[in-house]
Amino acid sequence: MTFAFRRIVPAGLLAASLFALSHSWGPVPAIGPLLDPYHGLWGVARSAALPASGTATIPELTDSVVVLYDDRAVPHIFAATVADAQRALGYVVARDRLFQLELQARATAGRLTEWAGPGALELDRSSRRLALAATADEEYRTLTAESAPVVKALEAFAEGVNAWIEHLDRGDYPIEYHLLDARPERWQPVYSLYLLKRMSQTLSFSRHDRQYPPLADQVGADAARALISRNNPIQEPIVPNGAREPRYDFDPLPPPRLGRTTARAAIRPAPSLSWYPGGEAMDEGEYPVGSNNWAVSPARSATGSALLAGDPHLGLTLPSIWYEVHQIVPDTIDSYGATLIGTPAIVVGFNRYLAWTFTNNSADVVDYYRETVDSTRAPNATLLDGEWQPVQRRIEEYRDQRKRLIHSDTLFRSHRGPMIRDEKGWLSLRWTALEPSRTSQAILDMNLAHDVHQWLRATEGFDVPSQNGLVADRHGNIAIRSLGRVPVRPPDYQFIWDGRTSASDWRGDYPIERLPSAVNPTQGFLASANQQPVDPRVDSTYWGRRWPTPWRAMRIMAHLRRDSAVTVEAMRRWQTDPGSARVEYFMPYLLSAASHTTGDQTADSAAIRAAALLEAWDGRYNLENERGVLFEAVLSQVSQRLWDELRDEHGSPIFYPAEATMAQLMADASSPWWDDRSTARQEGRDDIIHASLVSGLTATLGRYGEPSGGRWRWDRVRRFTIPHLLRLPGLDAAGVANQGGPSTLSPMAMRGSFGSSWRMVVDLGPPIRAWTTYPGGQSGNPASRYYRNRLTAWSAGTLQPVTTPRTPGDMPADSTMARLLLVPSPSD
Amino acid sequence: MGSAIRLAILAVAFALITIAVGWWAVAVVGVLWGRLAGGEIRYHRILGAVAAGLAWLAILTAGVLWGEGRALLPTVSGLFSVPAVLLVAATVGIGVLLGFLGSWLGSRLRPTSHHLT
Repeated sequence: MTFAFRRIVPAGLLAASLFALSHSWGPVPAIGPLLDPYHGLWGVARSAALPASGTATIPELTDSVVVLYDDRAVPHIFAATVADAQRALGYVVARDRLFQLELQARATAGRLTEWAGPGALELDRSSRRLALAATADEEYRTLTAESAPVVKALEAFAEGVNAWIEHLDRGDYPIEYHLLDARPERWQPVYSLYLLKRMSQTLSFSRHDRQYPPLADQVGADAARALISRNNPIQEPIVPNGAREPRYDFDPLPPPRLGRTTARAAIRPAPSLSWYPGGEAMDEGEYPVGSNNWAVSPARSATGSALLAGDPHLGLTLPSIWYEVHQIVPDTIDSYGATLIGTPAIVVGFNRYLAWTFTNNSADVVDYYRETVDSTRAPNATLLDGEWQPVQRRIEEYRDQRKRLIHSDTLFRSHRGPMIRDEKGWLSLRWTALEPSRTSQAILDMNLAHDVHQWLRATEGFDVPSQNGLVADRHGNIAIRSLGRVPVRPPDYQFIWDGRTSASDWRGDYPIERLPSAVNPTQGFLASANQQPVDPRVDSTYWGRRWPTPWRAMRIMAHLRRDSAVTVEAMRRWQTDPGSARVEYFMPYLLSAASHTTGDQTADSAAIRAAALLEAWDGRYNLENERGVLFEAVLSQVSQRLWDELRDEHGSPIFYPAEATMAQLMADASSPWWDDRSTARQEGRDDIIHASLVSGLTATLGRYGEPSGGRWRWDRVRRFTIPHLLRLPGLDAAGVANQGGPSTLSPMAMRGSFGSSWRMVVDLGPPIRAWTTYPGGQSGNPASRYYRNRLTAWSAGTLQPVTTPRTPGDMPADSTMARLLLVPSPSD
Repeated sequence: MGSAIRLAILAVAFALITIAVGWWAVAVVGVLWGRLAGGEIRYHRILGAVAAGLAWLAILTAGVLWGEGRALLPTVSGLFSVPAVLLVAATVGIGVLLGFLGSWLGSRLRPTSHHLT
């Protein structure tokens, strides 16, 4: 062997090893940097625990800021100015949730391919078609040009985030960056607006209007309009209507007119042209879960002060969408609560004067317009009032991890908004979230309010997403109002508007005083659970359609009507109330139909057995219940059999009616809707329910076996997984039990990825006291004990008392976990 | 200098260079060690491998295997669907590999050939 060859062998092996270890192979990140014991993912462990004491620099600070972490890992920020408090907030949020911050911004901007490559392309294309980030960019430019105060807040928050990023070594990166082989990007102030736009997409984007044409083709216009009804047939409105119980407006549902199913396919847009991630087929039916809030005035409170409960339901992930924090600036801000990651203020919480919370308000803020274009393939102009209006074009480029171009799209925008093409031509979308918004300023101002009236004024600029804002103050006032712009439309509502005429366009917004609201009602309490805000007999203004069936509202209102001395403990208990107005409504129909005979002895005895099993149930979805599983199976069978008219030629549902519509049909036993189209005879309600009892029981026995031995226990058959942001196994929380079922106050849906995201009860004192929790933990670091530490308490429905020191000296030493001093320069 | 002391010094060097520069720098230190150390080559490349492995194990012990950071072990185990001990072994194995190959190459770069075996 020659001397040179002796060198070549080890040199070649070393070079090959370095090359192999430093390159990613398909989805596998580069092993060398990943397993680097100090700078790789193992480095994540070093930042798992907060140092008991530390100092850090944020160059833009005007004075030192003290941050005390309590024993729940909640930072209490003591700053001299509001801007410094916002800088500190940016810093602590980045410290705990940096990856989440950037992921949300990238998802809104449609830049996930730069992390994940072509696999994320369709998600990115959907995001960019909606133009949420482009709208936020424009909004930020406008706010900057106007020198709006909120810009300073966004900049201060960004300075805090970037101060954290700049001191990071690779080993300090959150674990997800290691897995993606990425590094954090500097935070831009506009990204905070991206996050609000993303929330708007989650909460206020609807496709109901586009569901109408195929539905009308399937069952006829009258039936379609009734199914996408503007009024819920069960009325338990947010704004008190003077009633002491829910009202059932059960008019007969127009019968289906069948036989024109082939036209439907022509209306469906190609999924690749969809605005919706997941395509047009993604329709979860009726709003599957929902938020709750309620407040009682001192007259109905056992403490003698107003009480408020907040329970927004959102997508559940680890880490959570919320971050609990306390901001104190003497004589200015003293707010405690939950901030949406990336927002420079508390979004849901309380200060020394009042407490506030939200539920989603499904107001209709989206419209679609059928446009006439000069070129079907690539329009340059749309026709409006006989004249051609120019269409804007934007080229969107998508790049992979190495900045290589992997795809480009040409997007079109009419004067109304983004355009997409379907089989019939071109549609424009108009949506309040795609127009300038004052929401970010409103969120800042809410924190400064001193009473209910100031808070209501502060939220006048809360343009989007539409919310039911509930507030209670220490003077004993309670109030609720629909927040958000609601457009005034032409009188003859169209599901798809004629884009050729400006007569189809919005005519401004309803003034704030016209929006549904109530202040200090005589009943002494207020509540909302996403239901229709106003009884149409009181105010017939069009606010929206397809309102969620008010099962949860009925339950809350029943509690509030019954209890004239509400305690904090009762408020907490109600948040996970296992009782169900839905079960109370449907159960009598199920039990009654069991005695309906069909002549088939086997079926009849099975139906009677199913009814006997159900009759033994108290209708509560507590963890130990052993009949909820059967009830859900039977009701699911009823729904499938009832709505056979709403299936396409392949048997797939094209539309999911609200449960209130099924409730409405329960009262109409011989409605044609009950008929099973696959049989020659004419079925009625009891035929369908009888068959559903049989098939529901069969399905339950087949899946879980006999009910003995706890096989049907709710906490055994209904376990959830709260996923990690990237759906990574090992970083999720599997096997979570939840007390609650469909339409109880604490439902969980989508296998655990949607549910109660933040629970809070506030006693408006004096002194103001509060209890909170959320599913997850403060830290985004899975090695931290604060990553998922709150899950057990959340699952059990318990709340933890919060600490609200006015000064650093007020903070109990035994509950101070860590102290962080933020200074403008290292010498300070 | 005794072998134990050599091993300790070399391990400290590997640990410091890993912390200061990164994983790949272990190979550089290995090359230097192999190039500068006198004596029998097989012995030195084994010493380089063992020292690098010990260095990385020490870093892991300080950061992950000791203290609150241990919570990371089940997490990464779930993440990669392999026992955590295998990931720790794989990590140490990379250090061993780089220390070995670096030392081997360094020894081949010595100016005279009579040291070669």
